[in-house]
Amino acid sequence: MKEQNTNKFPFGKNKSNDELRRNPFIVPNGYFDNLPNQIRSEISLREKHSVEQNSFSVPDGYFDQLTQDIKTQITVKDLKEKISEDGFTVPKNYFDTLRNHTLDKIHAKPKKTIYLKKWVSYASVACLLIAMSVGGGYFWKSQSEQEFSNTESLSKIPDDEIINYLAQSVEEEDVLYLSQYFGVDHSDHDHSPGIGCHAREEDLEDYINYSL
Amino acid sequence: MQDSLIISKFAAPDTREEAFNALLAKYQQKIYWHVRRMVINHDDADDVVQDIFVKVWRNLEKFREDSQLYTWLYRIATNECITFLNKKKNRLSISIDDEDSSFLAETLTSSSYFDGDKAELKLQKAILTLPEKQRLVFNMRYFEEIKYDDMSAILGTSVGALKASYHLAVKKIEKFFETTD
Repeated sequence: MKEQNTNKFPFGKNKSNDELRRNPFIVPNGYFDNLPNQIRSEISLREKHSVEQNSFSVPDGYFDQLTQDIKTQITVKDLKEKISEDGFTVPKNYFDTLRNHTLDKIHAKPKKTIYLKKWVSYASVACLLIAMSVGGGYFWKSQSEQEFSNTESLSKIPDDEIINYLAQSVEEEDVLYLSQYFGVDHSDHDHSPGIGCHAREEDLEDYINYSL
Repeated sequence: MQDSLIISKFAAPDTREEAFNALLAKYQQKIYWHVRRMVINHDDADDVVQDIFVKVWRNLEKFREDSQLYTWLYRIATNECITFLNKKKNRLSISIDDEDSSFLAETLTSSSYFDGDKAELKLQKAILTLPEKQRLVFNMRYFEEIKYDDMSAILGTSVGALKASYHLAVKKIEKFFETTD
């Protein structure tokens, strides 16, 4: 239906109704030609953005961890402002000599390795065995505990088996450590009373528990 | 020298020494400070560091390149520190289950190679009240600024557990500073 002239207002008295009805707004040239493409592009962009938003995730419990991390960082930052160094020093030119000392140690000829390994190993094994046999009531608490039941007494195990086990398990450095630990000078093997002979039974037990 | 080049040169007998020198030049100070902060005493650290690199020399050929050389070295160093500390505890008749490291506090104050000020000494004392693992994590993060991923590879612990451990360590140190003069 054609629009009726409803102009009842007192402005535009000198203008015709058709002139007053004209749209005063304008758009850029070609706007309506481009509008469909722009709408399609906008839809496409928003869909993509929506997909990307959904593709992000965080590890489980991340935000709980984040709170903790931030608190830690704040404390550490404050602490580092006051104390950033550890205060330790080294002797002058230490790092120059360290390299040489390390290389010397690597290229040093092994000293009586076989002698120590066989002779001292078996001597210390024998002493350990005697000390443990005398004690009788001590329990085997080291790695071998998994292999033996708690109630089985060490004295029931054949000596040969124990000697073999220890000979295979004890390393050279353990033997050296053992001899130092028990305060025995093993430099004079011919006159030494024997490694471990001055050892206290508790020391032997500790050695078995923590070192083997 | 790149780590991969060090490893390949070490595999060839005629360039082995050159490669090892490069490795020492690159890592000896880092490893020393890592060890020193754990064992506290310089002479002990010196012994442990030399032992570490002797082990590295003997085992580098067997090193599997699916892990980083850097994390492998730190793993050896950390294990050597723990072994050393256990032996020291043993010598001092301290239970190996005793997690506190306060038995090293005396070493700290009597050491000739510690010239930290009052605050630095206090921080070291606070660190020594931590259990060994927390002490390791704290030192590696606070002083060495090692990434959690690398720490995880070195210590064989998850990143989440390491962060929790560091958080606890920091809280304890904060408390130590609040309650101690």
